[in-house]
Amino acid sequence: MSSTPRIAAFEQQHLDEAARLVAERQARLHAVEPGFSQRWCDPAQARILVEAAATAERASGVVALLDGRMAGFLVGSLRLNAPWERSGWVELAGNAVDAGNPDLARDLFAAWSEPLVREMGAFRFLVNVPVPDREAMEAWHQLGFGQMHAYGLRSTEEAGPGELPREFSIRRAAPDDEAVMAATSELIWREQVGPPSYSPITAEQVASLRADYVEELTLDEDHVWVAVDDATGEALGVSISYRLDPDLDVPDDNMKLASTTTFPAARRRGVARLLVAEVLRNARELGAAWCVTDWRTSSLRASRTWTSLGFRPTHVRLERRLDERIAWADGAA
Amino acid sequence: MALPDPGRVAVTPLVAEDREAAAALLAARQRRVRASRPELPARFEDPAAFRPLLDVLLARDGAHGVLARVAGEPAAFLLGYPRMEKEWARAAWSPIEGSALGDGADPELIRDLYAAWSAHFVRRGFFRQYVHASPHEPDLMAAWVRTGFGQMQAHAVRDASMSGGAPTGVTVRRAGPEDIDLVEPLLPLVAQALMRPPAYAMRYPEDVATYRDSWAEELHQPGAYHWLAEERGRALAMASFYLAEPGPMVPDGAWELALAMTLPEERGRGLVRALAAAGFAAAREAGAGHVITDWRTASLPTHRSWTALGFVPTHYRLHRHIDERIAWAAPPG
Repeated sequence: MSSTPRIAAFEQQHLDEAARLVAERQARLHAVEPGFSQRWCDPAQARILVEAAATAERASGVVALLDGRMAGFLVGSLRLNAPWERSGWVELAGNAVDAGNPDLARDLFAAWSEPLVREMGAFRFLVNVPVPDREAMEAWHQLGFGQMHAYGLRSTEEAGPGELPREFSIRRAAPDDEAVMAATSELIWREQVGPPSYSPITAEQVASLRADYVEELTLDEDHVWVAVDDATGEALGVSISYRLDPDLDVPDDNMKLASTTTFPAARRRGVARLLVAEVLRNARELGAAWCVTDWRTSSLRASRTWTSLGFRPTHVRLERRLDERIAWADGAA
Repeated sequence: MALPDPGRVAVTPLVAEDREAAAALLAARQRRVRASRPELPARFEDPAAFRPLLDVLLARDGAHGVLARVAGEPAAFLLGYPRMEKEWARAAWSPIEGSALGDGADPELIRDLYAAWSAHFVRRGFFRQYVHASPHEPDLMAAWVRTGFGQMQAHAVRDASMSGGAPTGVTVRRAGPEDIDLVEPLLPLVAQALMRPPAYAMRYPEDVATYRDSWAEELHQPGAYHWLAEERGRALAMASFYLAEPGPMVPDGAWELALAMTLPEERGRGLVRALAAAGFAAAREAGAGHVITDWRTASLPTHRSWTALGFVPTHYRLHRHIDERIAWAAPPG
């Protein structure tokens, strides 16, 4: 680090400089991962995302100034909603530091987190960091953050997922596929509650998730594909995809692979590959050059499946849970 | 990251008869790590050196381990035990000799092992989990990070060649029992630094209240070297050295820089460097070629001081705090 940074509160006047940092980082990221769209290398475009982060409900932020120039910033929001408890969130557009000062992220987190911990009782922090930004990632790991969720992409034009099994076929979901969709929702959460993922889900969340999946059958803009056994007509797996609004690592011409599940009895038979191949084909047909998805990194099956299907992580959501005893066990007699 | 072939990978409980296999895996890791860190003891390249450590670990109350075999051959293991001390708050703990991968083993195996190992402890209410890994096995570190672990404590080594003098007007000398009143203002400094953001490491008030009494005893210890920086009758800083406990990550004959404390207003004067130089000189006179230390990675001043002094991590303690709601927010299947 060149000199001691001065940490100050993030103000409206800092938006342009923060946008410059995000745009400069985007250019560095685009050079190694073209899925980071060049659109955001323009500070005026990046400013839209930074401003959204800075003006979100219960947002706060800090900047690091070196020799009077902004060398880094961090803005995040306090979330109060289930299931995240009282937590501090930093989106991808809510943090960036100069290329030569990755360690500034640690000073910024120290300053930003303190009032959330001391005054708001937030002991859980979630921060989104680009994977190619290895030095920044290391700075966050040193702070005690581990990975929780990965966001990845792949080209829809790359070589396909290989020879497809012939005994299966793909069809669009029909209105009477409610039972299939309900079963799919259960597979999703069961995968995440087990070891080593240990992601809790409440009974009311189970019900809500089931309703969301069934509702997919009524959403015209979403694509729901069902893999079926040609011989029996039995559903083997389901895939849901739709377009996402562009973001730093979400290209304009994208298709979001929201979920792909294979029912247990059909696993290791190539069902997921078949479904993903269909999503990629459909994406190409609709003019999407990129397919994006996300997964819980501690879910072994999801993590291994998506990477083996060619998805490259672009950014990860990191998590740190503070010891809540710090609220009172501060050494004071 | 490939999909493991369940027909080739088998994870089973680690039993006493597996001690030899675990010792051989640890010895293989020692050979790999020593390729980067030749100062670490070569004798641990012999599995026999690990047997006593494994015996101690296996004999601990509640010890639990798992072994992965690939094509029938031991490829990795993970072994740990419950810690009930109040500061760890019911933790599952695997020390550096508690896990290893075999030569050429896929680091992803550690995640399969952790899934099985952690489930044992989570069922028993151990939601805070600690493991150790070397940065010289970056793919293994990455596998832990993907599973939600962040860095907590760095353990590091440097050679004992450091030398240097005290700032003008400052005297560096060994402290003894008669100095307890003089050094008392220094005693809570380490705890206070750790409690600040972004480290947020709690200390019980009743523990801080015991510091004077425990240090009064500590200053009597014949094997301890407490170096004191003093100016006009005022203690400015102190650093404590001991002969290090031997181990696979401790160069033979090394000394340990156990802790250092500087009055906040006196930082930046080179006091720690002067104290370290005095301690290193004594260590050299006693035949030590290296000095070890450790620090909380999220403590910014400590992390920056020790790395600036040339300490290079040999291994890290990694930490994951599983959401306790998993105990009930996981509907039965």
